[in-house]
Amino acid sequence: MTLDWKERLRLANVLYREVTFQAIYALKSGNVFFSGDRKKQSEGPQLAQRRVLQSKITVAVLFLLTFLASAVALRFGRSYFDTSLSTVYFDGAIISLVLVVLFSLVWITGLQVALPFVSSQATTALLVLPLSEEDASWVSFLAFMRLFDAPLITALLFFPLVVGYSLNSVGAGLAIVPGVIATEVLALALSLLTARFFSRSVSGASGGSWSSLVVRWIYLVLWTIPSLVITIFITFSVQIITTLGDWQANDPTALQSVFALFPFPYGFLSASLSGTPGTGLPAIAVPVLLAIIYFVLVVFSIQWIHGAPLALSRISTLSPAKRNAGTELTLTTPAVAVLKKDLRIASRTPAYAFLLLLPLLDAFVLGLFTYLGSPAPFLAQRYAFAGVTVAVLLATFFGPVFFATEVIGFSMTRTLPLSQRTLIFSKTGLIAFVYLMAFAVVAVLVSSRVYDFPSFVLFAVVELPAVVAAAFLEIGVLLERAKQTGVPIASLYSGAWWTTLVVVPGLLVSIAPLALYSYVTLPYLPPLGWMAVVSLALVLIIGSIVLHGKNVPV
Amino acid sequence: MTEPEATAPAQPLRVDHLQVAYGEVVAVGDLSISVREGEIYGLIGSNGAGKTSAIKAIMGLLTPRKGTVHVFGKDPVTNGILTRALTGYVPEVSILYDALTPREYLEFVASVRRLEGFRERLVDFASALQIEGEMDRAISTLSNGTRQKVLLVSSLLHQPRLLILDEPFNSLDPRSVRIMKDLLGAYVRGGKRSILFSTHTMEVAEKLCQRVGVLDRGVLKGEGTLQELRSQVRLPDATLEDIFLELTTDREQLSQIVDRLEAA
Repeated sequence: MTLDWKERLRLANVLYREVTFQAIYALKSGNVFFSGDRKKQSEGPQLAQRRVLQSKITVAVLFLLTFLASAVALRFGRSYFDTSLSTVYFDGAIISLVLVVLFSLVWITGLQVALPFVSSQATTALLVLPLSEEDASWVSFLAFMRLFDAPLITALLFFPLVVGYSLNSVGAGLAIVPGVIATEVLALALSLLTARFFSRSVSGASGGSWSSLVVRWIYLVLWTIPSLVITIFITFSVQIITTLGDWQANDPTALQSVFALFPFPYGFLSASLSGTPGTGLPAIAVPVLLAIIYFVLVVFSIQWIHGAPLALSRISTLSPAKRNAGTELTLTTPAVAVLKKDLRIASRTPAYAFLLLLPLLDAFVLGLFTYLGSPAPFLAQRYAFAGVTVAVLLATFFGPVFFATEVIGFSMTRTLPLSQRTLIFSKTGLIAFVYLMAFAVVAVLVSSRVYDFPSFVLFAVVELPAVVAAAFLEIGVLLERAKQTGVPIASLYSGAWWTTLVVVPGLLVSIAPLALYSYVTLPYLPPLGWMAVVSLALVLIIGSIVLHGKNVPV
Repeated sequence: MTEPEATAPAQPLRVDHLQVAYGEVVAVGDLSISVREGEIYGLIGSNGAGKTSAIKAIMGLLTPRKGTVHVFGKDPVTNGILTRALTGYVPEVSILYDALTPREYLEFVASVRRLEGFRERLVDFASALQIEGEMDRAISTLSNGTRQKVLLVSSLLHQPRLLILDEPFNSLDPRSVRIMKDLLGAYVRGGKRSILFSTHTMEVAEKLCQRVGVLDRGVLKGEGTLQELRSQVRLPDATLEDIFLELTTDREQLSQIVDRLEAA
């Protein structure tokens, strides 16, 4: 007997409640939540749903902001971009760029959601029910979709409105609807595919071999692609439009090739229907054909997607046991052991690896931009300093998340003779490591461009104590909090607002020497000298406050 | 490992009038027990009796509302580094870092404990519990029993003077249970090491423990050797199960429940 849709939705809602609850609470360390008072326990599922809803609204607002930015570009952007690109191609390119950003956001959000969906093991509840495979698939799919329905619906409703309003054309607004659907479906399919690859090749893979390490890091670099795409497309949108304009004038084939790629045909079609002259049937015939071809792919994807969440949750990740694996252990000091553990966990957990790699990739993009742009040495020096500043901001901003690598294992770590001081030192070491690596990336790329390379290196070095001070502050606060409430999973969907809030004082501390360098002129010492004084003072003061009395167990 | 043993006082564990509460819910009402050198002490009780809460307070993971805990004369909340160096702990739920392999987890534990001269022990434990082949598998993919074995090995690597086991045999296969029972018996034989372990399996407690504490809804209902408990309930031939039921259950109510279930 097949379930009707009402019943499928009801079961999906039960599954959704379980996934949200597991994602927010069940993985907290030491079962602190479950050991808490009964009132909180009974409110847990509602609270978890509320927090997931807050997160969904946050992502939806992010989508809306992107759409609003595109509205400004469509209405007033031509003068800002100063491009020779014809109107229809300009509008089509802007709409398409937004679709690319939307695609990346849905891909990354889908990936964030897919892995907790699998690890919650909520779908195992379906196995004991007399459900057909088809029903179980649909119930899993609906539960999965509920985890980010608000952002998807927001995009579907608001982007056509924004396009229609900006181009003064109902037709243009309606024409982009299939483009949004195609973008969302293909991004979802890709997120489920990459999540499947992760579950098969990374999550359950054996440790210790070089091949598994390589596969893991390839996957993790792949994971950062959507965020890198977003960064590049937003940061270099002016350059992209300018290049397209140049191609229209000098190399039309290159322009046609770009507009043949997904999702450009949809953007072009929408722009064509706004009544711009010179976009008759012959001009839109090829984009229409391509849009139809891509939509056929979308239809196939929908057929695959509805069974994918259930299939994903059933993937067996058992690697074969080795007969003679041996029992050799390589020991280090306690602080290095914590650092090593964190790096190992981060390299196998996309959410953490992503944060580890993002500062490096952003530093790479900025460094590459400086290198390829061939600006004047003085300007290059400024870009290079900007690269270091971005590394500081990202390391300070994402640093606290590394604390969350403890998650459930923290309750076992708390039974070891490990002092809070050691834990703070090792987590701070990880944050400093991310900063130094990002700086190294910028340094390698800009070494031949900046006019005063030693000053640039000194700039990065004197900022290091401030980064360490910010890390001390953030990790110290988080540790105190974690002892009371447990360690949450620091993802967008965990609702762990306090892991985000702690970043504010951290950022103030790490920015202080940079602000001093850029905006204040003081007597007796050059700017770099004052920067070093402030940076060292910060690490000494904050370090002594945070580390005082921390020779107690975690 | 470092040498906290030399300075440790003799009494492995002393708990006086311990009370553990979560808000209004009192999990442990009034618990006073002590574990002597060279003995296996069993804390037995039904599900929800307060065993795990008491053990978490003993480990210093929960702060008691009232009463005191002393591990080798030290308060585990204020002297946690020392008491954790002297104890080994296996929790009721096998909580580990899922992204690591057993080898990586044991490397982490052994490094934090600054262990030396443990390699032969590791080979013996890994071989006895048959986890050698699992050393490079992700912990997330291991069965509950194998995770439990990894935890047991990690708790024994530093040869703690006090081993605290919370329902340690729950997920183990019969072969491993037998090996662990023999191992735990041999572990305390020298008289220098002690074990506190909680269980609701009466047969295990009866065979393994020198003394037993019966915990019921957070209150200690009886304590002593099997003989002492028999005298307490005035049943000279009683098994530990009989004694447990006598101390914690209304016999008449129990038989009524069984009758109703049979009739259902």
